Amino acid sequence: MGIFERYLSVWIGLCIIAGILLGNIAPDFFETIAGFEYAGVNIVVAILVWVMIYPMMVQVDFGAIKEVGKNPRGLWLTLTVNWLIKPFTMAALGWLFFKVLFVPWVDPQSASEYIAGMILLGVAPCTAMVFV
Amino acid sequence: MTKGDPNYTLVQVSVNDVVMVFAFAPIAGFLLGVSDIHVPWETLLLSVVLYVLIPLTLGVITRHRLERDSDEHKLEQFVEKLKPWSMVGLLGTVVLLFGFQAETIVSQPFDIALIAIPLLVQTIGIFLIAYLAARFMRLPHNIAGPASLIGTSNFFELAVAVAISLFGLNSGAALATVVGVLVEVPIMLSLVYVVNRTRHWFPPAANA
Repeated sequence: MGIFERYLSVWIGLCIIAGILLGNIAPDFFETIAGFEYAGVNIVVAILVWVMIYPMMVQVDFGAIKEVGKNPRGLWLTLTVNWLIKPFTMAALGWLFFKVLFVPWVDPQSASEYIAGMILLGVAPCTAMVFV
Repeated sequence: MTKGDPNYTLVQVSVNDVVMVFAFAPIAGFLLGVSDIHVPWETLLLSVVLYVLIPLTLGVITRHRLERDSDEHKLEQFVEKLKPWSMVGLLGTVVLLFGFQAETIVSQPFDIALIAIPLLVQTIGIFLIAYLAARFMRLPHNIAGPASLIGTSNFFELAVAVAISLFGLNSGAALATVVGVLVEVPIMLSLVYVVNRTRHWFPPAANA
């Protein structure tokens, strides 16, 4: 794992600051980019996302799937956690925090959107092997 | 990072990716529906095709081509060369996301902290469940470690992409997924540390 990955939080923090600054200085620029849309998909974002996901997908090895039989228990563990536990606990926590605990601070519309974001996070399992 | 069995990790990730092609849309649609958040199914399916199926297919084709060249290092070199691009894509997306949301965030920075709290609880909770289950199952450490971390971490790139297509760039949903990225990295790093410190909990690796 290189310096790039180890300090990912730092880079993301810097990009967040850069984004917020640029968004306030040059809102027109971002509006123009937001305009490049086709069927609800923003073209610029789609390209960036592909740049982001494709390298991970190259690492997926269907040949390796045949090896599953060797030690299926670890696999059952990740499959169970990823698909039967995680999405549901995430949705439940989202609901608990944003519909119950945080009600005084968040307006209902934003709360629903935050929950939606959390659910999407919970349903998307790890594909990156950066940490493993 | 946890001295896991790399081949086995690859198997796990690959199987989970394939399951994702089929399971992502139904589970996401169901949970959003239960939470009274209505999203068009077409958009959800389109996102899966666009951000999972197409990159996965392209990735498999690329891999196949490179492997056929019989030079084993070619694939590795290619993957290494691509890796930084993954980060560039992620960071670029983050700049854009926050650029689009700049005004909302300046007016409510507190929300980022609020979103981070349940995400923290979720990440640590899921890790504990997976890791303790692995211990209970008496899995060898070089399988238990990666398995729990795979279970814990999220494919946040996909979540970000889908949130943008479903709810728009300047939506709260997109903001929540980006906070997810922010929370995940430091937590995962500390969990790797925990995994390495608790090696003695597990039976030594069985050489299969």
